[in-house]
Amino acid sequence: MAQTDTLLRYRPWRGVPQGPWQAAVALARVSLKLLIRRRLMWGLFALALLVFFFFFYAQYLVVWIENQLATDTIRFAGVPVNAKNLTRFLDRLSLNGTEHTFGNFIWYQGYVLVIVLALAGSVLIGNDFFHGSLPFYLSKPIGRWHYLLGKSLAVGVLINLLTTVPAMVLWVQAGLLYDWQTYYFNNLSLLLGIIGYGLVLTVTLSVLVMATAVWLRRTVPLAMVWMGLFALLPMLAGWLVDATKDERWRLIDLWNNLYLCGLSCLQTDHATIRPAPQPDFGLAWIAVGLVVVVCLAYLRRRIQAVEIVA
Amino acid sequence: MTSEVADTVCAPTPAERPSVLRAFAVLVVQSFQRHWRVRQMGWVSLGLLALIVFWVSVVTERNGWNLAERRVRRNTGTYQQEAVRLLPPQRYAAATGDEEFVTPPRPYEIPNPFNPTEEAFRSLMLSIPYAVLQSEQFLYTWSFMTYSRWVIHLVFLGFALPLFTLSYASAAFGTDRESRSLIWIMTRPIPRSGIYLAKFLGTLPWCLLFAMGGFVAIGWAGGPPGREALSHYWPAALTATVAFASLFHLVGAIFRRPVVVGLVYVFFFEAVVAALPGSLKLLSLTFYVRSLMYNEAAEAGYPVELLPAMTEAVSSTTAWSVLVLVMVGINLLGMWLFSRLEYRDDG
Amino acid sequence: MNVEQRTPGVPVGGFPGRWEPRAVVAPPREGPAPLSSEPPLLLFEQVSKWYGPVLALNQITLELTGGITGLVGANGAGKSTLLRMANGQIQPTMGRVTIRGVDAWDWRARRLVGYCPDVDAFYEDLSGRRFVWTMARLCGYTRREATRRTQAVLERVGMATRADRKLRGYSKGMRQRIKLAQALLHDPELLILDEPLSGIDPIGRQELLELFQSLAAQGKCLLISSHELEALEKLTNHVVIMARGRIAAVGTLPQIRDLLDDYPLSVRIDVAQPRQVARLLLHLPEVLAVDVSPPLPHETSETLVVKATHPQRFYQQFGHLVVEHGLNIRRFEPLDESAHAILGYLLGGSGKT
Repeated sequence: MAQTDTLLRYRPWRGVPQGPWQAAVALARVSLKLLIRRRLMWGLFALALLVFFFFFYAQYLVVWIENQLATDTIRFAGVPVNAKNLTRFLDRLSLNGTEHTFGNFIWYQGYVLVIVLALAGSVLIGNDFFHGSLPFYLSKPIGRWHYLLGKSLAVGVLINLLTTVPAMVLWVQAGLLYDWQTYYFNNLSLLLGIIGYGLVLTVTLSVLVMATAVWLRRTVPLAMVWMGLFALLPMLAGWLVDATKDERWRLIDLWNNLYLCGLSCLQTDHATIRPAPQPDFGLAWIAVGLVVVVCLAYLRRRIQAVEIVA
Repeated sequence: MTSEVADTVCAPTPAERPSVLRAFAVLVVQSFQRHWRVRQMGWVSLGLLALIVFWVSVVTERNGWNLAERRVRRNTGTYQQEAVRLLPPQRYAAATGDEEFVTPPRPYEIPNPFNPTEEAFRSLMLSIPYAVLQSEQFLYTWSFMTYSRWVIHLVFLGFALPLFTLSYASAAFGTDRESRSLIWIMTRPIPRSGIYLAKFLGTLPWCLLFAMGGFVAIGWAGGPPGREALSHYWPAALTATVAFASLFHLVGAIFRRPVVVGLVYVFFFEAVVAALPGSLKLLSLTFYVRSLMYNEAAEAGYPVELLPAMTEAVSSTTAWSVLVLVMVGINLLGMWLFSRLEYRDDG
Repeated sequence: MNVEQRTPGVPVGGFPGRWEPRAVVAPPREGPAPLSSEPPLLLFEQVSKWYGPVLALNQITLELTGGITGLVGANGAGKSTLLRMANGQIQPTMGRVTIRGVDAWDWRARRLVGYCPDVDAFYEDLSGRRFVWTMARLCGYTRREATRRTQAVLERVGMATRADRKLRGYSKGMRQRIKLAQALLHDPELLILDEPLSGIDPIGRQELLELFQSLAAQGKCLLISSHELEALEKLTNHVVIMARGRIAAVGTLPQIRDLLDDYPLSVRIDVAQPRQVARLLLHLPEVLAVDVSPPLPHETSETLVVKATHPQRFYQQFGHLVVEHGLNIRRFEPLDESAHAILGYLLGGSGKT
């Protein structure tokens, strides 16, 4: 036995731990892998891609039609069609590489994003609480805020994959459809605006996902609350604005507030925003800020609670 | 630990043999109680319902269903204000600059006293809106159709009904699968098809409570048009609730994340397909429910063309037949599928 | 022994390759033999199960008629799949599983089976008593009967006085007992217990082992999967050893050990004249080697470690030798006849599962 002791003994790991911040990145990586393993997630990505490709090809189509306007009519399946009639519908989406193109694109992506985030919330955070895997994470040398940061990073990557990154691709595409040097030079602020819009979405929605998932944990109530926030409140907001003649009712619609914040990043003229009337940009920023503060305060309270490790 | 009681009690007495029908009935009750115990869902449902009722109440309180109180366009007044503005005294006052209006008068609104015939005809035409807005019957009809369109078709059929039925019906199996406790039911001596049916019957009261309860609540909050909508549309709403509950119960039995699948179905398939022209809309459950409501409103003499995308409504007989067939068919399909599916959530 | 390997041999292609199970035989039955007209309690006939590309069970043929049978094997060997199939939770891809002649997938078969799964999920908001009572009601009993049975099984598993607390506050051992209680509710002929001893303290474990023995004494058939080999050895020496989806061996531990030709039996013998005895032993045809070890620190004399093939024959010959030469044997201890050692040989590892 003594010989064996000298020959075979525990050799401790001699590396240097990289600290809790690196752990948060690792946590985000693992969380993303957890999500992309699910076929359902790929189905939702496919839906998001549909919206992206619609904008992508429609933007090309608009330019092509405009180039054909010299002849006033386009032969569509052999039938001459007035070009203006074709572009009237597309004009509403502003598929011309302006700030509204990117704002509208992110607005429409919201329909898929909301469902993706409801799924991500229940899978990434709700499951940890519900199936007791939270102590597994917290037994590592990381704090609870690092855990939340890791999960937020994963949610943030999802948000940007669905909104900011494809919007940036649309910006690049728009430059290639026009005179690219002029477009890129003159519209660099739009690129920064897209990034700003993405940042606002990332911060607000990740914090909101965390807070609602920590609060509700189960998928069904989580989805109900998200649908309430992103489907019901917009409906109600529109009617309340009409009924009360007060556009500030639109502030109850968080997605609209995020849209306004995004458009303010894109330096959009407030008068051109649809649906009208809209509250001021400042009010939208305050509303979004309040949501973030409330969610952070709630998370802080929950994190200090004993149940988080129960 | 091993007591004498233990040795004797476990032997069944002949008079009290287990009954599969009793087990089925107990499972129905147990499924109902499982939802009751997940209080969180109940609170969230009540919260959402309260929000809708609050909104309907606010609009009703401000006479928002009434055309006279609706806003014409952005930065303009209500239809009533607009109608008054088009009357001769207001047009003349605006032309002389005695009164300030938000929007400048349109060319055809500017009075032309030098051509009395034309001016008389113009005044007559521009007074028609005011005259129309004085008709109680017209205003009520318009209120009813506005209420039907926005509250019943958009909010109830487009949001509340699918969400509540999705939440409760898919949770019948979804909650058990999520918490990995389905094994306890699956090890009981009950036929699998019976388990499926019992779960459905246990969850149906919750779907009815929130969907139909919500329907009644928003009907009462909607004032006279709401109450009339209640009396006309309740059979369609009831059928829709059972049909959606059947569908989402099936989704819950098949998919591991039924809510996400259901949301995609409701907010992409139903929302888009039901509004499409052509035959594709025949695949949408909402289309048949809307057809029923459309026919009800048409029979009551209302201008149904105000309802959204319902130019090709099927007859009530067809709609009833399809919905009933769907309900029965989906449940039979679910029972058949469930008796063949393996659940390995515990592993 | 109440377990039979019904096919003459199990293929050994994917197996650690040192043991040929062809020699596994059905041991003699204990107790009254079942009526020939009555179908076996649990019967697997050429059962295979695929999970996508993974073969979880490979042509299993097995028959259980009574007593306690241990099911052992490494993680992923197919134990849980086999148990779930026996309980009708999953269907075989090929072959057939029947309980007293009824297909295990059929709901009627579940009246004959009590299943204690390894999953640790309950209706956490219920008390233990309420949970067991609900399970009894779901078996189809009246309220009165369900209450009576609930009380009985709770007493039987030692939870009667602690069953009124919410399940979410239970220790792991208490949860195991509640799981066991619900499996006993309908007085099943066959009890399938997946890791029933997991998380139970030593005293509780002993109590449960006694309970299992008393159930077997009542004529119940128990199929117990466990990683607790020592505990399983105390309970039964009839085991089914699984490896890579196949049944590697069926029988009592000594019988299985007897078949392991490639692994000579090691026996430690403490005797007064070790070197003389070693010479005698080397004349036995079954003895391959004898090692004279130096005395252990607290012992005075040397010790013999004998390596022999065919353990049963060796034991007989050694007995004759002892009588013939009047040997004074102080200690005789087989070193590798435990379930651990046998499993280690069969599975090519340490025997740990």
